[in-house]
Amino acid sequence: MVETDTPKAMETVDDIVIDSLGKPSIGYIAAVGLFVFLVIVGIVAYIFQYYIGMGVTGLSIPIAWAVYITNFVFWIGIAHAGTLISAILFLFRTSWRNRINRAAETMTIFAIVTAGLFPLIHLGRVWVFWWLIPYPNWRHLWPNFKSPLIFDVIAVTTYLVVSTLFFYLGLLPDIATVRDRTDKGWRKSMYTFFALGWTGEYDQWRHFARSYLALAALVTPLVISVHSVVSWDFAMALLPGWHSTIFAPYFVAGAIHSGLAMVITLLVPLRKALRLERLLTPYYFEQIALLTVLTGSILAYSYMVEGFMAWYSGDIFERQFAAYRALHSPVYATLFWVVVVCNTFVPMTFLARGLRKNLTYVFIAAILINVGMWLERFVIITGSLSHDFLPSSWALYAPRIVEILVTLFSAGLFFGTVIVFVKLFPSIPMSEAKEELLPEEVEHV
Amino acid sequence: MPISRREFLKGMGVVAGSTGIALSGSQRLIPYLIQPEEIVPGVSTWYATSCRECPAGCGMVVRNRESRAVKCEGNPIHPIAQGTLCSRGQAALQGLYNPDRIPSPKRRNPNGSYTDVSWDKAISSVADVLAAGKRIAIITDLQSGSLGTLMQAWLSAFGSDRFLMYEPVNYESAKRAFGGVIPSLNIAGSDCIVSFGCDFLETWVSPIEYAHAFTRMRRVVNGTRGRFIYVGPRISMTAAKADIRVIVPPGAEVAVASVLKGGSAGGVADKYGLDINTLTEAAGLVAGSRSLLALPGWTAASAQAALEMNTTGASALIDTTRPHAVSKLAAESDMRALIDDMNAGLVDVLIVIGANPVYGMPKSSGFDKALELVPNVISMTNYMDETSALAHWLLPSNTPLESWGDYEPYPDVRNLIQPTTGQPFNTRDTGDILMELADKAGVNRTAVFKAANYYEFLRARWNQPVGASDTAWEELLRRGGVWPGSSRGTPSLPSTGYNTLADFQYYDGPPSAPSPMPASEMEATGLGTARAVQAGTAISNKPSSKKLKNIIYPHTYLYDGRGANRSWLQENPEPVTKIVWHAWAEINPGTASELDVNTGDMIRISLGKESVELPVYVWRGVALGVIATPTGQGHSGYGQFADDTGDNILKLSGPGVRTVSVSKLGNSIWLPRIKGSHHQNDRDIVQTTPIDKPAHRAKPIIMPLPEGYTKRDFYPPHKYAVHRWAMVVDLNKCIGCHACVTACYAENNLATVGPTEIWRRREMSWVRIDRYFDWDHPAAPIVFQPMLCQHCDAAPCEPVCPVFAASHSDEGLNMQVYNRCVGTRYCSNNCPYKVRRFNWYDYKWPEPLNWQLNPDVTVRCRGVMEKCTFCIQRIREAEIVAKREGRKVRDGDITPACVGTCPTGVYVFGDLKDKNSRVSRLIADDPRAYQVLQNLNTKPAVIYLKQIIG
Repeated sequence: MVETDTPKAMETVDDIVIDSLGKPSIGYIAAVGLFVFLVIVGIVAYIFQYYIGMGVTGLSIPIAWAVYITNFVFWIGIAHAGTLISAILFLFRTSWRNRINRAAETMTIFAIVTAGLFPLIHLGRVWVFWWLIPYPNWRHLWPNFKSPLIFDVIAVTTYLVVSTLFFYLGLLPDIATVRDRTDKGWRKSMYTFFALGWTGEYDQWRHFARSYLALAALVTPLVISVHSVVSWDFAMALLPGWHSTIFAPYFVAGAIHSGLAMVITLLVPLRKALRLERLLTPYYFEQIALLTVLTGSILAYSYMVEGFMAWYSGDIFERQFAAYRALHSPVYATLFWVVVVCNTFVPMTFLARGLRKNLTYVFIAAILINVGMWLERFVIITGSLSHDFLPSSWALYAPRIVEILVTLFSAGLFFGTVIVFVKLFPSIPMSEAKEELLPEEVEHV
Repeated sequence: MPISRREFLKGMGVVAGSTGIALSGSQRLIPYLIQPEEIVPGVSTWYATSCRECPAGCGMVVRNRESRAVKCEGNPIHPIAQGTLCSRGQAALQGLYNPDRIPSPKRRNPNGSYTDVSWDKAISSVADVLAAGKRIAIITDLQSGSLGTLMQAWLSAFGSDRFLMYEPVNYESAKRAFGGVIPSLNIAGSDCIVSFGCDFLETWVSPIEYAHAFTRMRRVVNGTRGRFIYVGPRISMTAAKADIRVIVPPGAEVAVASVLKGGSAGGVADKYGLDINTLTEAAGLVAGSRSLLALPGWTAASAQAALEMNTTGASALIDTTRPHAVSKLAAESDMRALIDDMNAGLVDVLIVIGANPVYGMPKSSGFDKALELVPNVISMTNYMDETSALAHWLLPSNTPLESWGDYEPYPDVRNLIQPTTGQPFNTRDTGDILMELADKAGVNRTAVFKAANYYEFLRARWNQPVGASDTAWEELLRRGGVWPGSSRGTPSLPSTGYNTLADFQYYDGPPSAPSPMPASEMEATGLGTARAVQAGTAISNKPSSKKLKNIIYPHTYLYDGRGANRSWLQENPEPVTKIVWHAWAEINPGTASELDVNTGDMIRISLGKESVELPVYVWRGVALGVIATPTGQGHSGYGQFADDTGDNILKLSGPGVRTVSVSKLGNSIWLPRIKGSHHQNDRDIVQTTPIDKPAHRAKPIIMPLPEGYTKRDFYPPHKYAVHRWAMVVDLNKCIGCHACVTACYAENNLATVGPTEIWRRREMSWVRIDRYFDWDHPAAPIVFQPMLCQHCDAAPCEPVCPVFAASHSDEGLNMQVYNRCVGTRYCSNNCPYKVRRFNWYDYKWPEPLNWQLNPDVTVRCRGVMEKCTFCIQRIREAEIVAKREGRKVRDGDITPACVGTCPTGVYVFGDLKDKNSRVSRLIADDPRAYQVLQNLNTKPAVIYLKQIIG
C-alpha cells in the first residue's frame, strides 16, 4: 500500500524525478571521482597482467579459477534482481515494483557489462577471445557447444541484449518527458535523440504497453536460465562441491538474493543523494527485504541439502570435502560460516517488523548479504579446487594485488556507471509511478 | 641408422684435437652455409659415450640434431645402465649448455677481477710457471681412464707425484666393509639384502646398475621374492622400498646386526627403543636367507655392521677382484696431508681439474686458507665454482659431452667418451691443455706421451683391446666401449631397455586360477607380514641436551654438490621430502618439539667452530635425536641456479655422522617444496596387494575403448581405426627416483620455474611422482606413484574446453592444441588427476641453455595449457619410419621419454588395439591392474599395477 507522504500529484512526481537530474553535489562528484580512480588503477593492474602473464595472480594448478570467476558470478547474480523486479513482478502485477524497477534495471545492465569483462580478464590469451564466439568462418572452426563456457557466452550475451531492450523501452516515455522539460543544451539533444520521437500518442502507448509485456515475458525465463547456465560451469564439472544437481535453483536463488541486497545497497544512498525520499519511502525497502527472506530461505535449504547429499551419497570425496569446507579447513570453514550467517541468518531478521522498517538496519544487512554472497561464490570456487581428488594436489589460494585491484575496478565500474547514469536519466519511472497513483489521490490535487 | 660417420668422426677428432679450429660464440655452431653431408636436418644422430655425472659410469647415448646435443639417454647395450639413465645423467646436457660456464681462458688480477686472455697467451704464461721447475700438485675428480694416466705421466715429466683424486663422497667408511675397496656386488643374486643406511638406489656408488639388479631380485617368482631390510637413521627413497625398516639412531647398526644374526633382540630393542617384533621378524628373514648381502652406508658403524653381517655367505656375491672405480678416490687424510704441505709452502703450483675442494672439504681442514698460500693455482674446469674463484688462471675445459676420453667404472668395463656436439664455448679438452702446457714448458710431448694430442694418446691406449684399425675404432665408438660380452647385441637407438613382458608377470595363470603359497611354507621361510619401527614412538634415549647426531648424506640429485647448477636437478623434488631448490635439515617431530621448531624454521647446526644455518623439515621418517642433512646446496659462486639455496653442510663434515649442537634461530623461511597432502586420506589411490595372498581385481578395468562404454555414458565412444595408445605403470617397480621426470623436462622442453613459483604450485612437470606417507601401514609407510596424463577415453578435460583445444586424437591421445588454447584453464579444473600445466608466464631459458631445447617439440607461450602427450613426436616418428619401411608399427617401436629412461622398467607403452601388445596382455592378465579414480568413469588409459608388499 502506498504510504502517506506519497506525492499527491502527477506533476509532483515529475518534479521530484527531474529535479534529481539537476546539478550534482560535491559528494556526488567525489563519489564519481573515487570510482573513476578505482577504474583507472584497475586498468593499470590489468595491463600489467596482460603483458606479464597470468602469473601475477595468485592462481595455480590446482586452483586455476578464483577471484575473477567469483566476480563474474557475483556481478551476473547482481544483474538478476533488476529483471526480476521489472519483469517478473510486472507480470505478477506487483504494484510496489513501479518506483524501484528503473534503478534495478540500471543495475542489471551495468552489472552484466561488469560481469562480462571477467571471462575476458581471466583468459590466458585474451587477444584471441573471439574464438569463444560462434561465428561462421571458412575454416569451419566452431566453438565447442558441449562446453558450459560457450553456454555462458550465449546466455550472457542474450541476457544483455534482451534486458537492454527491455530497459530502453521502459525508459522511452520518461526520456520524452525529460526532453519536453529540458530547455536547451547538449542534454536536450541527447534526450531528443534517445526519445526516438515519442509523443505520447495513444497508438504509441498501445504499442508500448504490448511490447513491454512481450519483452517482460521474454526476459522472465532468462532470469532463470542465465544463472542456471552460470551454475553449470560448476555443476557440469566433476569436482566435489561443484558436481551437484541443486546448483541451478541454488544459484538462481542466490543471484536474486544478492541482487535484491544490491538494490537496497544502491537505493538507500541514492535516495538521499537524489532527494527521492518522498517517492522511495521505507515501504519499498520493506518489500524488498521481505523478498530476501524468501531467497535466503531457499539458500538455507540449499546449504542443508548440499551437506545432506554429501553425507547421503556415501562418496568419500564428497564427504571429506564437505567436512573440509565446513569444519576442517581453517580458511574455508571460517568463510563458510560467515557465508551461512550473512546469507541466511541476516535476512531472517527482516521477519521482525521493527528491523525491516529501520532503513539503516536494512542497509547494513543488505551490505552483509552482499559480502556473504561474494564469499559464497569464492568458497564454492576455490574451496572445491583446493581439495579435489588426489591429495597430492591439494593447495590453498590467496589473492594477490593485481586480482584485488581488478576486483576493486569492477566495483568502481559498476557503481560509477550506475551513479553517472542516474544523473543523466530518470531513476524513477515517472510514467509508472504516476500510473500507480490512486484515483482519490489524483482527485486530491 | 645407416649413416656413415667415418668422415664426420675424423673431422670431430681434428676439431677436438687441434688448436686453431675451436668454435666460440653462440652464432658459429649453426647454421651452415654449405651443409656438411652427414647432417640431415630433422634427422637425429646418436653418439655413444659415457656419463660422467657421477662415478657410476653409465653408458650413454646422446642425441644430436643439426650438430647440437639435445638429449642424453642410456646406451641400450651397456651393462651398467642398460639403456636407462638417471636424472643426473640426463642433466649432463645442462652442464654442456650451462649459462655459467667459463667461456674462455681468464687470468685473475690481484684486485680480483678477471682478464680474458687467448689460449696461446694463457698456455705460454702458465707453461712459464711450470717450466720454472716448481713443485706441482694435481687435484682432480675421479679419473679411471686415459686422462688419469696422462695426468700422472704429465706430473712425472715435471718430477712430481702429487696426484689426488678428490671427491667429497669418497666411500672411505664403506670400503672398510669390503677390505678396502668397493667391490662389484651381485645384488640380483642375493635373496636378502640388509642395507645399513646404504642408499644404493639413489646415490651410493652405482645406483642405476643396482636399481636394475634390485628389480630383478625383487621379481616375484613362485610367490616369493628377494627380501630387503633397511637399517638406518632415516627412511630414504631406498628405504621406502624395503620390506622391513628398522629406524635406528646412528651407532646402533652393529647392535642391530648382532640381533639379525641371531642374537637376543630384547636388550638391543630396549637400549635403542626399537620395536622387538620388527627386529625378530627381520632376524627371521635373515635366518631364512641363503645368500644374504649386507651393504654399508655413509658411517663407520654401518660399515662395521655390514662387515659383520657379510661373513655368513655373501662372499659369492662380493667380487673384490673387480673393484669399482670409486675405490681409487683419495681419503680425507690424503687431502689433509696435501693441505699441510700447502701450508708449509711445499706446493708452488696447484692444478685443480674438475674438483671443488673449497666447497667440499670441511672448513676446519683449512683448505681454502691453505689454497691462498699457493702462489699459482690453475683451474681447469667447466664452471666457475668456489675453488676456481681462488685460482689465478682459469683454463676452461670441455665438458664430457664435448671431450674425447674414456672411463672405467670396473676394470673390465671400459667406456669410451666422444664428442657428441660442437663446442658452444672457447674451451678445450683437459688432456690437450695439459699436453700443450707440457710442450710449451719444454717437455718433449712425443717422447713422454707418444702422441701429438690427447686424441692420439687416447687411441694409442685403446689399440690394445681393439687394434689400430679405423674400422675397429669406429665400431668401438658405435658401441661406446668394451665390456664382457660387449660384442654381443646390436647398437641401436634407445628403446624399452630390458623391460620385457616377463618382467611384469606376477602370476602365470589368469586371475581365476591363483596359486598362492601355502601358509605353512610362508611360515617356514619367514615370509610373514613385514613391519617397521614407527619412528617417533617411545624411544628411551632422548637427547638430554640439544646435542644431536647429524647424519650427512649425499643429495639424491645434486650428489656432492656438482649438480647444483642444473635447473632440472634443482627443480626435481627430493623423492621423500619433496623439497626443491633449497638445503634442509630433517628431524623427527619429537626432536622438533624439544627444539620448539616447525617445518621452515631456521636452526643453527654447530660443529667445533663452524656452523651452518638450515631450515627444518619435520617428519616421522628420521630417528629421534637425529638430524639428517643432505649435501649439495649452499654454493657461493657456482652459477645462477646454485646460488641462494641455503647453507652447505659439507662445511662441517663429509658424508657420515657427527655429533653436533643444534639451536633454534627464531626466524623461518618458506621451505620450497611440492606441497599437498602427505596422506591418501583413505582414498585408495596407491593400491597395494600382499605377497602372500592372490591379487584380485575388485572391479574390472573400464577399457578406454568402445567396449568400455555402457548406458551410463552420456557421450558416444571414440572409434579407433588403427591404434589406441595406453600405458601400464607398475607401482611395485617404482623406486621414486624421478628419472622419468627429468626425461620429460628434457624431451618436452618443460620450463623450470624456480622456488617461488613452486611454492605457488606452478611447477611444470608433465609427469610427477606423488609420494604418500602412511604411518599406520608399516609394510609400506612411503609409497610412490608416477602421475601423468591418463589419456582418459571419457576425458573430463575435453568437453569443457570452449574452443576444442583439448581434443581427442583418433589414436586415443588427449591432445592439447597450443595454438587453439585461449587459456580458460577449465580443463585443469576438471582434471581429477591435476596433470595439466599452465604457462603462467613466458618462460625463458638463459643463453645458451635454450640450445638444449628439443627441436621436435614446441616451446609454449604464456597463457596456454600444456600436458603430457605420450611423447607424440616419438609416436609420429615411429609411425613415419614404419610407413617408410612398409610395415605396421610394432609393439615396442615407440618409447616415450619417461618409459625409455626408467631404470626399473615401471612403464610399458603400447597399443590397445593390438591384442598381443604388452599393454593389452598386462591389462588382460595381471590381476594387479587397476585404474586410479576409476569410479569417476573417466576410463583412463594409464593402468596401474598394485604395489606388492610383505
